[in-house]
Amino acid sequence: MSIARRNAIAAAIIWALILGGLITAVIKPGAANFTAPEQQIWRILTAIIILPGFLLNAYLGWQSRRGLREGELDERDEAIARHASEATLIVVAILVYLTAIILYETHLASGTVPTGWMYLLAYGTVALISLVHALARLIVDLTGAADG
Amino acid sequence: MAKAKIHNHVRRLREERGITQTDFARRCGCTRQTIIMLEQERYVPSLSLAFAVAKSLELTLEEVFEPEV
Repeated sequence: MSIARRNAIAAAIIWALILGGLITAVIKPGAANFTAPEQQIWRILTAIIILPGFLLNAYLGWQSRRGLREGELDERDEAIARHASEATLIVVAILVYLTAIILYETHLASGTVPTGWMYLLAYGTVALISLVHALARLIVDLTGAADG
Repeated sequence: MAKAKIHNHVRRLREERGITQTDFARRCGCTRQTIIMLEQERYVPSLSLAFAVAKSLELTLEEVFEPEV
């Protein structure tokens, strides 16, 4: 298995776990209760969930630059990353739009959206971008959709 | 303008010369994965890699790659 493919699988697993953790962390106390003052520790712990993902991204970024220098990665891996970025932009834009419009529609009558959902939308988008990008890299790699 | 399909004879030419995919990748300055995809015609290389492939086989670009007509 190539380094690029292995990295994409690792990123997909880690970011899927982080996204799942974030969703659970907001849903468990309830989006309305999530931002209550007594939940502050819970919110800080939730924000920390995302830290391993950033560390992984930093490590994979460093490994990619080293891989390009040392010939472990090449132009095809760069082309895959470019195609994956384009796909990620579209997929994340659609998902964020749908989430925001669903929140709008479901809370239109009350006139207020629980801020817990805004928290999830913000942190979740970060996790979603990395997850979708990793999955898109795998799909583009396996389908041979990227050309030089 | 529709993208023309580019065929290549990399696998045959490489095997005729008895070069492994790993060695060939090293000569071309790319990864073995790219050579595999190239030979399966699932990857169209950049111009610079196409020249590197042709040079590694000591052939011209046209002898290695040909666009579908």
